[in-house]
Formats: sequence, structure tokens, C-alpha cells
Amino acid sequence: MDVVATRTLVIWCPAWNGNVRDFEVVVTALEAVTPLIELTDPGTCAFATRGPSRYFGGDKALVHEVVRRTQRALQTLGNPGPVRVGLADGPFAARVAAFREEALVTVVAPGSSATFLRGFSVHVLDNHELTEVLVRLGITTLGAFVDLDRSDVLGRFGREGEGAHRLASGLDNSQPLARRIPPDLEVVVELDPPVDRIDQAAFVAKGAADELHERLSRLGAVCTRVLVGFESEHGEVRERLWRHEGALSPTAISERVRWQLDGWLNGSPDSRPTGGLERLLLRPDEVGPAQGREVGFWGQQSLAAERAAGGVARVQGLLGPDAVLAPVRRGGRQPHDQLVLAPVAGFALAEGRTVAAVATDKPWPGQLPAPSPTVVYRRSLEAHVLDSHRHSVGVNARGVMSEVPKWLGVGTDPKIWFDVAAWAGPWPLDERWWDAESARRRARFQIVTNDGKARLMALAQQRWWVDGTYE
Amino acid sequence: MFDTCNPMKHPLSLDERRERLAGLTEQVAPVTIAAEQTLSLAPALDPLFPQGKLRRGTIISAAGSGGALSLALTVCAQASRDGSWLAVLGAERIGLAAVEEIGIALDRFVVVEAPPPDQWGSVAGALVDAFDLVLVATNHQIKHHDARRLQARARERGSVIVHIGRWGWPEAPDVRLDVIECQWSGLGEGHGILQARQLTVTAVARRDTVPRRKSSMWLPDKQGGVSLSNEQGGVSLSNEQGGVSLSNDLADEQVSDLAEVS
Repeated sequence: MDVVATRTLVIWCPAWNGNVRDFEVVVTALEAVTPLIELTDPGTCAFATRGPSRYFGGDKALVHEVVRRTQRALQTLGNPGPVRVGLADGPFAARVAAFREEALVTVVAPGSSATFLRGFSVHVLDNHELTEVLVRLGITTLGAFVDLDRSDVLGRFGREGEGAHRLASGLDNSQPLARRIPPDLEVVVELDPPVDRIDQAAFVAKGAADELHERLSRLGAVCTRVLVGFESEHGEVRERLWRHEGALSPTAISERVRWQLDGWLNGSPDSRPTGGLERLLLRPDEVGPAQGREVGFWGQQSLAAERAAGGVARVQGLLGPDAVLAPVRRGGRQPHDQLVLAPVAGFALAEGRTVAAVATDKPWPGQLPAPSPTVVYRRSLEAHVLDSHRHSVGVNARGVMSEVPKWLGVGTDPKIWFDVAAWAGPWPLDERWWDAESARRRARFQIVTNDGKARLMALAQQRWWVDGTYE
Repeated sequence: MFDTCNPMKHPLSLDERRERLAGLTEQVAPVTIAAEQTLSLAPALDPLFPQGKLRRGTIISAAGSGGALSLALTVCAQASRDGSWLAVLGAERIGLAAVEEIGIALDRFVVVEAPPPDQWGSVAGALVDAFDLVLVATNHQIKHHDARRLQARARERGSVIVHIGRWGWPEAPDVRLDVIECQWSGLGEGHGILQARQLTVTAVARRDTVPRRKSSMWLPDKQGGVSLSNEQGGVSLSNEQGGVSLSNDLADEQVSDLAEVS
């Protein structure tokens, strides 16, 4: 008898801008294909394909339909971009297939996940410590990893390594099977009076997530998938399945509750609930034994990081997900180019993040050496620098100054003028001269005024600007 | 250390044991420090603090033109390197390259945009609960009850709040630092480059054996860190009766550039 096993389809929108509430539109569009969609992060989702595949007449037809719907949803959002799809026997292989660079759509034939995965690098396992060690041992592909004896891997790397070995062999043990979860693991919170603000609901959700975590830990279990459901006072229901690579911590669960709520309450007007939220349901969907991850010794999860992540989540509940920022390194000559601030998700902090160290092998000629200004203006402030005749100081094309700077005033029409005590420059900066639109030509100066304050100034097109202050 | 049950195995020497213990302590350090009362401080800043220590649960305010922000960050730098997390509230224009040079660990650094004034208290409270070090930059006058609540929370959680802003902390802070002199070196008349800055800082602490402390330091010094200035021989503990004269009028602009509070 030919048993049609369940396969998994993973969709990834690489150009996704990270916006949570807009992704709801895409998910809603896909719900017409299958009701059981699983979300990992905004931009990626997955579902089981036995039913849908049969309905659409085969895998290829299903993929075609999925791509069509997703693209249409992206068009309505004004965010067109490539849609990548991977279809394979198990979720891990399907993810790897979706992220594969060679093709937009990859369908792995049934039963050939193991062969398909062999050629990939061990980095797709997404487990930094394990990968580091494997690479040092000379094992760079999944094939080489799978060729190792599983008991050896268990002995050397523990349960985590064994799990990774299973994944790499195409033996995904996380299928979306219907399993009976003991009902007392569910957490249901009745919200009275009904709640219609995200931060209030997020606060309640945090408590519910803690409760769920508590119940699971008492059983020595963790869940890797959770169903988050809301019910409005008029009976509208919105349920979503969320999956996470590792175990879902309470912070991670409450973050996802917030995302889901954000998507629902602030999404498209026709899908918004007509009343406040009355009921919150958290149901763990995939429960497995706790692997006992050590806290603190890998340097990743420490109490301080968990605490910080919790604080970040609370602040985001009050001010929105973009209100908390963390540094990310890019390249650049100007002080505001090299390191930038980007929104950060609370639980990403808890799991440990590293800001890449300064790339010493990449030269950025034209950079000013340390010390750097402590205040940097993304939009430089207007300023005026005058010589002893009260004319604006200029620099000619050969970099020769017209006069010695004597006075400095900040603003379009400065009320206070400072004496220039010391100065140096010009240090020309000519970026992207080959592109007429984005070319940037500035002459930089450092100027210290008589109050002791130092400023990083720039002269561009005969106008003076303050780029930064050394507070 | 637990090898005593198997005397046949090669016993660890005392040095090896010490090393192992130090290594383990380092790993676990952020967790155990919570039990202690102080956070580590760069040695050059010791003269400014009572008993030379940065006590947990205290409010520190830094003011003065040209150096208050660097000073505030430097107060937090050593503790940040040792594992504490630092949150900055209301200073979105902070220069990240400078933050890195001062020695703050960027892995444990977070910036929160200035919230609307009615939410300022709750956001600041949430940060004080979760972070060991909170640098607060304000462009508005903090309400007395907000300040008192934050002070209580900081004491309870063992967090340190460092405040900079046009209007000082409304209640008396535990330590008030004032930059009274600021002198850059390295720049001439049309040549050179900024290299080092000499700051003269006074400190008035609520619970202290002397009414006022004064210290002269290089911040940053030529190596990018902070060090005591040799000229003044370090600390001068003043016993004058008069209060500290706040910095000059131009101080009003000091932090107005930092945050855009709409």
C-alpha cells in the first residue's frame, strides 16, 4: 500500500522588511490553502502538505499555487520580492531547500532528503558551537557529519549533537502529527474587561507564558511549538502556530503573542476584530523532554541576559517593537556609518548576540582615528564658521583654506558665537564619486572652542555642518 | 578540587586549582555579583567616589559642558566589561564608535528611544528593573515622584542610574559629578588632531566623609582609556564650606543635542 506520508513546505520571503503586522496578510492569503500554518519568524512560515497536495493535484501544482498567492499578497502590500519555497519530507530539509541559493523553488523527492542534505555545509544546522567544533575537526559538510557513528556523536556532543545528527540524516522527528496533549498543559486566560491594547495583552500574555513554562517544567518538558489563540468578545477567533528552533522560553512566547496581536489588531481593516479581546489561549503543541541546556557556561544564556531581555520586552510592549535598538556593525568612513542602531527582539538578546569585532582586514581609508565623537548627528546640524572679517570660511578645490576660522555658531541663525581656540583640517572625503546621485564630498575639520568643547565639523558645498560633538 | 576521593590520579597543584577556580568564577561572575554591593569602577575614577566604590542602588548625576556624557559612560565602562548590561534611555544620537572606544561592551548595550513624557516613568522603571546600569538622558524636568520611585526601585534591584540632562536630578543624587574644566590637547592652529582631553571633575556625595572631592584626569587619554592626571597629584579633598559652583552658562546646551523629544 502506498502510504502518502506528510511532507512539509516552507516559504521564505528573503526581501521581507521584518514587519510583523504586514506578514499577517501573507499568512491570511495562505490560509486558503491550508488552515494549519506554522510561523517561525516574520518572513518565514511552513505547513504540512498531505492534504493540500492532494487537493491541488500534486506537489508541483501546490507549490505553484502557493507562490502565486504569496506574490499576490506581497503585491497588495507594495512589498514585492522573491518568494522562495522548499518542499521536502521533513521541516529541516524543507527549510534548507527553501534557503538554497541555487533555485527559488526546490522540491525534494520523497525519501531522498538524506541524499539532498549531504552536500550542504554544516552551517545550515544553525548551531554555532557545534558547527565551530565540527569545522575544526575537518567536518564541513552534512554528509561527512552523517557518516559519523551516531553513538559517537552522542558521546561527544550530547543530546544536542544527536539531535543535529538526526536532522542531518533526514530523520526529522518534529512532524506536525496530531498528538494528544494533556489538557492541563493549556493555559487559558479570560480577560475581563476585554482588552484592546497591545501592551495590556502582552502583559497578560507574559504571565500566561510564565504559567505555561512552569507547568511544562514540572513535567520536565519543553515545547518547541505553541498555539496562540485569541478570541474577541464577538466570537472572532485568531489562532496561530508558532515554532522555534530551540525550546520556547516565556519571553519568546510572549514576544510571539505580541507579534500575533500586532498583526491582528493593526493589520488589514477587514480582518481586524470588532471588539476587545476576551480570551487568550496558549497550547503547547509539540512537547518533548527538556534537554537540560546549561545556563551560563556557554556564555550565552546568563541570568543577566534573561533579565535584560525581559526588560526589553516590557519596554517594547509600552512603546512598540522599534523602540529598543542595539548596535550592528557595518563598514564606513563616517562616524555614523560604521556602527548603527537597529531594532532588536528581546529574546534574541537572551540567546546571546555578538556585535562583530572591527574588521581589521578591511581597510576604510579616510577614516578619522579615535577618539570619536560621543554625539553623532544623523542629519548634521547647520553651522557657521567665520573668519576675522566675519566672512564664512571656505576651502578651494585644492584644499586650501580661504582664511583662518575665528568664530563658530551652531544653527541657522546662531545667537551664541564661540571663539575658535584650536582647529585642524581640511580632511577631504570623497565617497562614491563614480555615482552622481550618491556622491558625497566633504571636507572635515575638528574645531575646539573657548568653552572647551570639541566638534567634528564638515564643509560641503560651501556650507558648514556639525557632524558630531565630543561631549 | 574534588580529586581527594581518587588519590591515585595526578593531584592538581595549588596554582592549577586557583586558575581553574578563577576561570569558573569568571563564567559565573555576572550571577554572583548581584549578591555583592558594588560594581567595578575604573581605578582612575576611584577618587571621585566615597570609599572609591560604585555602590549598587545609587543615583549618579553628571553635568558640565564638554565631557559629561563621556564621564557618564566611563563610570559604566568597567562594570559593563565585567558583564553588566547597560541601557541608555533618551540618547538616540549617541556615538557608537565612541561608546566602543570608552570600553562599553556593545554585546550588552541597548538604546531606548525617548518615550512620550507621560510614559517616561514606566519605561525608566522597566529599564531599572532589568538592567544593572541605566544611563538616562533627559531633556525635560523629571517629576519628583518619578524620581523617588526610580530611586526606590534602583535600591531594591541594585541597579545604578547615571543621569545627564539640562535639568539635574530633582532629588539629591547619591553622587553628583560636575565637569568644571575641560581641555583638549593635540590640536593646534590648523594642524594636529584631537588626542586627549583633560577634565577636572568635582564630586559631591550624600554620604561621605568629606563635603567635596575634586580630581583631575585624562578622559580620553592617549591610549583611549581614562587615567589620573599627574600634574595635580590626583585627589584634592576640599573642606570648603561653600557649595559647588555649577558650570558656566554655556552648560545649557550640553545635552540639548542628544535626544529629540517631540
